[in-house]
Amino acid sequence: MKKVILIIQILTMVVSSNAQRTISLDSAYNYWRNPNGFPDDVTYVKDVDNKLDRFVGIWKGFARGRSYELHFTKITTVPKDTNEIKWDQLVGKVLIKDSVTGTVIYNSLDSSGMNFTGFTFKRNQYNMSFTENTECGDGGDVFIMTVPGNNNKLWFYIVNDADLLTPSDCPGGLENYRPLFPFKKAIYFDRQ
Amino acid sequence: MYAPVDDNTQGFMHDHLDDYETGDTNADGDPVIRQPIRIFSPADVDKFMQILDRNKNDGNNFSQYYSTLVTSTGTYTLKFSGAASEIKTGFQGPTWGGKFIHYFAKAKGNNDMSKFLRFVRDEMKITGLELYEIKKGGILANRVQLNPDNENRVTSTPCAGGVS
Repeated sequence: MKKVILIIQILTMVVSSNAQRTISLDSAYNYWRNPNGFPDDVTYVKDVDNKLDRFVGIWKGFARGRSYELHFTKITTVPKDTNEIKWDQLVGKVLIKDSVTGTVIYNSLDSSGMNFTGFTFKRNQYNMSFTENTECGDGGDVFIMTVPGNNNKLWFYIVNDADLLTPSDCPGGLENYRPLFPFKKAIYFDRQ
Repeated sequence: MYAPVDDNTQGFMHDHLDDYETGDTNADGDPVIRQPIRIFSPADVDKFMQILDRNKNDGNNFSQYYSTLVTSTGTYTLKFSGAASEIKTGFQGPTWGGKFIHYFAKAKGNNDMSKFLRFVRDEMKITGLELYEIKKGGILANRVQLNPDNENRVTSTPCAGGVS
């Protein structure tokens, strides 16, 4: 029996030494902004508990005179080379209108790119990046979670990412630009 | 912040913040913490390239130009040792910002410097850029390059007399 256990242990070690390790979205939180980065053997950041499923779909909300419609989907991005990590991500697009006139302010629903891409979980909070009009200082880190006790209500919060701005590159001028989302303000969305 | 570039600009310095609490809490009552990327962004590199571009007809001596970034993990400086023909701009904007964030999130590599150097070489396809690091509390700069045996790591070579 001891020999069998020993053989199994040796086999496990041999297999592990060539292992490609999968970690959860929660574990990835510890690595992704750490200057030491990911361990070399991590090859897949996976939504092992299906925590992203709660966000998939369409959400509507209002803030500061604008109506927002978020469309979130779940994807797995496949690395282009061995230097990249396979990753289960929430991605999304948005339609923004003036809530009084209905005028469309911004609409990425028909475009091929995704404004929102997500990365890791910190407990129930999922962090994403919103990229648009960065030459005008727009875009930033997005944090979302469903409200405790109400899976059909989404808490949404974006923090400005502006680092270096080039005002001359902002169409219409930086002084005239209003960011697409209000920064550092909780916005609540209802599931559609 | 914004940093205008004109004909007299030789270089500039700015900082990237540590992880910080935004001051607000999420729906669980936990503080929301921002985690900035602590290395040059494509927009930072573009700014440096703009300085070089303005001066590229002054002869191939670009050693006086620099860009420095202060972070909690170290101070980094960009220099350029290439030819005028290698100067490239056009890396501002959401496309490059987005590419960088994704690359940084998902590229392997056990430090920010190796990811940055690979991103510059493989994605931005810039040559001639040099990265230097002064560790926190240090005085002398090290030239940082990709480790040829394992590009998830870097080599640090001390520069005599600091960055000139």
